[in-house]
Amino acid sequence: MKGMIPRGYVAFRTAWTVLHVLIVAVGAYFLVRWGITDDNAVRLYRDSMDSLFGLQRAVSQFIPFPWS
Amino acid sequence: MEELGLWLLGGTAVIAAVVFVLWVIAAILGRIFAWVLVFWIASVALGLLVGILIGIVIPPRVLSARLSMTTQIASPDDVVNGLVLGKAPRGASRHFGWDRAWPVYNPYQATRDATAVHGKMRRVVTDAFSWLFGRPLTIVRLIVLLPAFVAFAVGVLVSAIIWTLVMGLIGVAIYLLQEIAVVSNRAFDWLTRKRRRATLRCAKCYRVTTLPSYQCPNSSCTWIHRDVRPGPLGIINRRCGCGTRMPATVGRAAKRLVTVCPYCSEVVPQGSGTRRVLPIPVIGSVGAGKTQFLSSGVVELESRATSMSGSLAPISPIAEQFLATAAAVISSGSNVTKTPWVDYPEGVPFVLRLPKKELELQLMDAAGENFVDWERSQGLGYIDTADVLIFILDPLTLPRVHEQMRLSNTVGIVPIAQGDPEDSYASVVDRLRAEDVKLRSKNLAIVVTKMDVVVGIAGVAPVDPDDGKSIRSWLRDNGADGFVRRIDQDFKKVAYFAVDSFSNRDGRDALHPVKVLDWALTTTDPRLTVLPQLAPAGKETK
Repeated sequence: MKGMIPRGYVAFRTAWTVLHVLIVAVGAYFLVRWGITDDNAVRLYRDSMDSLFGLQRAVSQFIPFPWS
Repeated sequence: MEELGLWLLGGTAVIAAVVFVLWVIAAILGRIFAWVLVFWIASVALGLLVGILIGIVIPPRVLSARLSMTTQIASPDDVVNGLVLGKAPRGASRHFGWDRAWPVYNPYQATRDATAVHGKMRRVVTDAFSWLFGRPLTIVRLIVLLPAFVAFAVGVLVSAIIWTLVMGLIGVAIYLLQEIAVVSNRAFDWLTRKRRRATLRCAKCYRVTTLPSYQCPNSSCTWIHRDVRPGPLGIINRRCGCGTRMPATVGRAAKRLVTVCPYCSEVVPQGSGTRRVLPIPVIGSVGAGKTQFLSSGVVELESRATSMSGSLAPISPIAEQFLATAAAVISSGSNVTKTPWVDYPEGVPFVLRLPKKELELQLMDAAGENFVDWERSQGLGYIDTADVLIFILDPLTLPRVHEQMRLSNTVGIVPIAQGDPEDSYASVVDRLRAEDVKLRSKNLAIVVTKMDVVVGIAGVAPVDPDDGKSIRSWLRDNGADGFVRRIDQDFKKVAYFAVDSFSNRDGRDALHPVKVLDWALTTTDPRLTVLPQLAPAGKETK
């Protein structure tokens, strides 16, 4: 027993946590690797920014000033 | 006319000015909305990312020891109260309910931990929205922050769903492996005991079971575990509610723990329930020589077992006392004291170990008063379930033998059994018939005792103790014809023996009581003989 609960419970919870961290770490590793490969992350960022500001421009020019 | 023209021109100019102003305002608002849209999209992305990260961090925090105090624990008390494994187990232990022990982590505590993780995620989201709506609400704050908060909630939800799915799949895989382990371990335990035909026969309440109970090994814990087989409370070992670890199979528990009868909760000898038990009920009227017969037989049985590199060990205080008394009586050549009359006599258990064989012998030596009528024998429930019965017949009570004794003036010199032997036989057999017990499947030994006296009575024909048919004919010739016919009608498998329990004979002598015990053993298993050099004694007559 550890405290008020069996050691088996603590061992299972620790294993669960370690597994969780491992899965997240593996996921993060593949995400970073994908981001580095061919500048995918940079391109994604630029594409997102371009799309975002393209949308901003499109919305802002939807109603032009009378003198434009 | 000119004035009207001026009014029209002025009105048109005003309308044009208003339209122009509104157009400019709309164009400005459009540009502002375009930046708000950029902010919304960026804040939603950020909120989503934060939500996912928070969702990743919460499970380890909840499962850590610090926060586990807030988690609902599947405790032994909850198990007993039916809150974890259901109301009651199935099978033999259903009347006892669940044992007070810790359930296995997966899935019982694992589902509670998952609930705690979900609860924590829900609280984080509700706390965030409480903060947002908890102060005087302004349109600006609502417009600026609400999308980010909604995205945060969605991020936590996505994280929770992924965590639940991944851990759920792993949990199911572990559960399936656990079930395979439970079934395998349980089957191995059961098959091992089944192969040995192991049972627990309580020497005190006479009930029979294949599922013994066990005391917790912690001396300060009084809990009795009713079903220690592999299951939701443990696969290889289980942990009692007091925290003590104990084996989770009957085979291993029997070696380490104190065994208890599940019916009367009395402590039974160690190892009970993991070996075959041969109850040997001895029936006969008062003074027929039952205890003398058993004493002589057991002392020689121990000697025979030792000579075969085996042993006969008493496994209860009453058995130790019985063996010590029997050895003293036999070596001194004196008579045993009369067995005291009790309604529920305790069995006398021994473990007989022969090379590669082990058997528990339970000698059931009730006083003759128990066999006066069938109401008195009603308490002797062990007779109902025994495969072997031994009826002790005092030949001095047979009419013709008694007459010859009277003629030779030897009446009174030797104690004679009280009453008619057929009455003591009937006290048992009539009851068994009334209770619909199948007599035809039981093995009955008719043991004619006091042969040392019989051979000295003039006018009484001699008996060949090696030949069961001869003993049967001798009984018929000496006034037990009706009794023998009745036995033939009641039982299919009957063996006749003639013994001398008093003289100090060699174990291989045909008159020695150990021959009857050897018959009882070989009836159970032919390899269990302690007289291998002798031809099968007491041949069955039918």
